[in-house]
Amino acid sequence: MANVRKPMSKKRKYQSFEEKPFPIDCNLIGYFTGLDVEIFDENSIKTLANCGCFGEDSRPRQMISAIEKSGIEKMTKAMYEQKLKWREKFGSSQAETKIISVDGKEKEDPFIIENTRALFPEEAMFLHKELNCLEIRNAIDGKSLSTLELWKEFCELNESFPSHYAAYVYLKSKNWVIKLGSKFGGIFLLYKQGPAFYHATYIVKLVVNERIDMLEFKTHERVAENTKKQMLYLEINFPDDLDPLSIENLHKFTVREAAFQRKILTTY
Amino acid sequence: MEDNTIRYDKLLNGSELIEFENRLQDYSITAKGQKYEEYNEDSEDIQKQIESSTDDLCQLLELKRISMSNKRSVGIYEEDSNRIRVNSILGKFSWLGYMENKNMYLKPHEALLLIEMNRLVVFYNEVIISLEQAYVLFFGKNSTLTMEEYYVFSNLSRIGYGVMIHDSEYDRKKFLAINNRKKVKKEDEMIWCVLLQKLNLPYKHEFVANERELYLKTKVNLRKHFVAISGHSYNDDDEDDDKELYQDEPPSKKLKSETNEVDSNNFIDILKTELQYISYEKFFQKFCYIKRKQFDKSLESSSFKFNFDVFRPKTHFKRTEQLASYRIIVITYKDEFPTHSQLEILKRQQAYDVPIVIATVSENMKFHYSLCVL
Repeated sequence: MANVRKPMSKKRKYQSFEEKPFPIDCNLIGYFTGLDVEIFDENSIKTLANCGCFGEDSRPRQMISAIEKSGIEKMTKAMYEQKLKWREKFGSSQAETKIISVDGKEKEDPFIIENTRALFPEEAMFLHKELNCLEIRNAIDGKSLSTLELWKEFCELNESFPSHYAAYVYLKSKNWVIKLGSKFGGIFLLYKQGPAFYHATYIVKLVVNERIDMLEFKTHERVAENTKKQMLYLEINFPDDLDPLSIENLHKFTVREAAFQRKILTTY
Repeated sequence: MEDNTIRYDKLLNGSELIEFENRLQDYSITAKGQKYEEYNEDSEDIQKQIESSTDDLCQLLELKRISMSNKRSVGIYEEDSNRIRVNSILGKFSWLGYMENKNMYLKPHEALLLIEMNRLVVFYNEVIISLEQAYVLFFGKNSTLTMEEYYVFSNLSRIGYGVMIHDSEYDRKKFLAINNRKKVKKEDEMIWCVLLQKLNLPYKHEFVANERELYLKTKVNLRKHFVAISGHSYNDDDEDDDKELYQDEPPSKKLKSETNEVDSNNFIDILKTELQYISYEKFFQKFCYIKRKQFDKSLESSSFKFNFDVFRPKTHFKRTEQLASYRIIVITYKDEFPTHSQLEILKRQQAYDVPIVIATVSENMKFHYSLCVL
């Protein structure tokens, strides 16, 4: 156990930590856009962000921290002028008013762009199926989708969705906060508590019915070493005679894990 | 090389010694040279540069080197048993070689390392073996190691580690012998096991499973001590444990539950000890239906094996008293990477848990070590 990398905490924490690992006893509504599931309601966005850190905000992380610090959104003059142009072009149907600061002066936001929170398919499926706290509607006609319909939609998007989802649930049941790992060349990134508090500990790659490619392995290992993380390879197993795309066979998936890390033996 | 050694009947005088040494120091090959943006082998500049550097290298290799012939150990190669008997030992060999019938023997790869380091002269039919010949002889018909394995061995030993070929039987015996020497009482060890279990840290599951009665006894005793020290009554959340204490289940069932615990205890479970997990455990239990794949000995087989046991350097190294620090699997880039199940089989073969390191050797004999956590 001495060789396991421990989660590294961040120095600056711009969010207060809530102990809830996921939203409990609430009804959230998300819209399936064809790529991901988006949340528009402001309160829902807050609960998702605070409880378990689900989803990704449409605004950059620095911007959110700046707003939390000063309490007001800052905007450059060029952006303000651009927004004025947009207002002329598209008109404004907004009922609310929002005050922003442009070069130190407080002004009214001429063209409010609502921020959304995007959930990737595995995350949305988890909130919908396991926690029953998310109702997902079709973004085009507004009809609510059943679990089976959703499963089909997600499987059409990505053929290996069932194995990804199995890995997601397996890791989630061990209290990890899971984000998409394309930043570091993996499928998932595992955080303790969330990206606001800790650096990612593992980069997850899935191995389904194949061996680990040697050259790919080395490159991933190098990336993981330079970013102070560990590569976690999850081997996903499924019985050959069953249909992996069916939702009823989900519990037949089994997982086995192994973590790798480059070792420099010249220093002992 | 050994064939070209000229033996001086007289001793060299001081000025000659200095002259020989200085000549060696004057020559040094450096990687300096002009950098070209476009590389043409036909251009004159490059041809000149290549010629001059090859000349330098030849001159350096041709230089006479001086050393005293009695500063090296002497060994004789025994072809039948493929080993080297050392007749005169100079210096310390520490972890190299083994004793048999009051004679010291070296394995071929160990001898080759010593020849490369200029510490050993080996005779074969009264003729000194040159370095080239040694490679041919030792890696010929009945060699124990492949070339890649030897390079890993030599690399690790030059760094300073003690490297030995893995022998699982020998390893198991050594581990038992060391444990017996420590003479830890069963009762004392059980207390540690119970405490470690309480803290969700790894403990000896097999030992606890075998000594079930002692385990229950120590657990009850520890609770009494807890009440006596703190003055509170014992409010433990795991009431199931209490039931387990007083119920008389058949021992086979209990053993099974213990072995399941071994499988679920994993490096990825570290966040299960967090307060967040404990207070919301019921919710987590709802969706933990995807399990870890159970290890089945009969279904799986592994073509991989441990090649070496590596020991951290120590001033007073004793082979019988030190446990290995790493176990090395040597593979080349052309080989297939071991699967999860193959690695798990290897892990379970060990007498005691040691970090597994996979050494990959590339075609240009560069090494890359990666630590594997299971």
